[in-house]
Amino acid sequence: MYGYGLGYTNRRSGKTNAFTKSDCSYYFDGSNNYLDMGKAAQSLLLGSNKQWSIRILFRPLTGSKNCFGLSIWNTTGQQRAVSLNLDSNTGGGNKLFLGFSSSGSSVDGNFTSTGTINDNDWNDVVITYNAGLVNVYLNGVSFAGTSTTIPSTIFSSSANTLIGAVNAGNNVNEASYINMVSIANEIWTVTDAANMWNNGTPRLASEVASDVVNEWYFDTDTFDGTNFTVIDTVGSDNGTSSGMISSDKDCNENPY
Amino acid sequence: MSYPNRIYILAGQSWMKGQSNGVNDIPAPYKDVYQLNSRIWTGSNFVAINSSLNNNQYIYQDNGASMEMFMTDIATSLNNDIYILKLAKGGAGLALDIAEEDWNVGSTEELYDTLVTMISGAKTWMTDRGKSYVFKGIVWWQGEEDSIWETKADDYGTNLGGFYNNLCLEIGYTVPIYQYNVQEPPSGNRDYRATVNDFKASFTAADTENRKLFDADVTSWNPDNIHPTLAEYKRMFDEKVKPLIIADL
Repeated sequence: MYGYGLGYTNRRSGKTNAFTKSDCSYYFDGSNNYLDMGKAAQSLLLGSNKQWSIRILFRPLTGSKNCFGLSIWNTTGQQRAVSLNLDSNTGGGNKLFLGFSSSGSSVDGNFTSTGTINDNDWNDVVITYNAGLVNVYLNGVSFAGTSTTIPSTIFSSSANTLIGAVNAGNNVNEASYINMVSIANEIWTVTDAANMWNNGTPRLASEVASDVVNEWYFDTDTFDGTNFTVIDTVGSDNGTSSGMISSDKDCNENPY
Repeated sequence: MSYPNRIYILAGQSWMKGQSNGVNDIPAPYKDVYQLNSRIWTGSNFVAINSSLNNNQYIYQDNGASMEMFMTDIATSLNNDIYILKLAKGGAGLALDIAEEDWNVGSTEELYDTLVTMISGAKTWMTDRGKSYVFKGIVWWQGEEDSIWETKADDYGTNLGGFYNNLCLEIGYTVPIYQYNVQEPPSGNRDYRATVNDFKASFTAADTENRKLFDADVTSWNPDNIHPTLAEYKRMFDEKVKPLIIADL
């Protein structure tokens, strides 16, 4: 569905923009904060012969650590499953590194991008997984890489789904902003990725691609004095921030 | 593309600090809510304004409440977050005063230096987060103390120019300044306010694009007969300050 155009009104935010956008991002400080999404999307992402797509709009800040977009990857108790390291310090740095585990105890297959991620730029990354076949798109075009054998079964971890960290309690990463995360139960194509990127202006995934099951775009998240409630605007998997201060939800930092 | 983050400095004397326990009189929808689009400096972080988070050194000293509680309206007009540095102290003059803490740029480790430290901290906070920023305005509610004393009033023009010029040098560019003419409260004693206000007028006339001056026109006073009621703070903001700031957006 391509419901875009001048004056289009976002039915969720009620805003009318030239293009629907997500104003707000979270600032991840690289040391102490992340979003804990509970068991969000795990029945879709984990298990045998799964098919899914994940899109993340993010901006890594300058650094030489790792920038994690979404992970179900707890090293304690061997609960590794999937780790989306969007700006990794491996392979010479600034690479996109995806780790998959079928055993829970190790990286049993990985994807490392050939190209690099630009620090301080907004990046629109789409990752598709089709029973062990991985494709990555960056800013609407294919983002090539090298893969080891990626397992067709992803470990059914007991770890929570985290955004902005790999492992609760072990969150020494690169500071970054994430503007939105969406998950679909289909394999998005390069055409889908290009439509979402929209010649340099990202769109909300659910407005341009079918079968989105979860989308967190943060604009309507609420703060209770300690944590934000992170609203799933498509599904029902709300999450909770951890270690955030009230200014870490930042509606001035976005790709638009 | 991210928006330049607008930073406003709210500084002055007790009118800017706010009447003690003024937080109790803040109207809805400003009271006891997290104003997520209006962030104020705590000395180490910007945090969302919330009138129930009282007695921070830089924000709600003595549970005071002033126009910072309403700056969220500016953010709403912009559809962007705004950032605020607030520093105010009752009875603090611009003239150098060896007995009291003052705003004079020649005083060491007093209010001007504290404000400079806050500006430096805010710049670092923004830079560390990869945020572009612009200091968009100085709201200067001050002059009452200097209106009480003839010698202080006589030096007000020099002291105001020195304060503003040094502050702009510290920031790195000319920043709009919004101030009021000192008003005589029911308690009286501002015998030299005409002198102070004349200096404010000539200071403003020198750069009308960046310097704005208004009459507060307060008619409702707290029982101390020195400070406006909270309702008057709100009216001053709505009728005087907000239109000037929005015009400069």
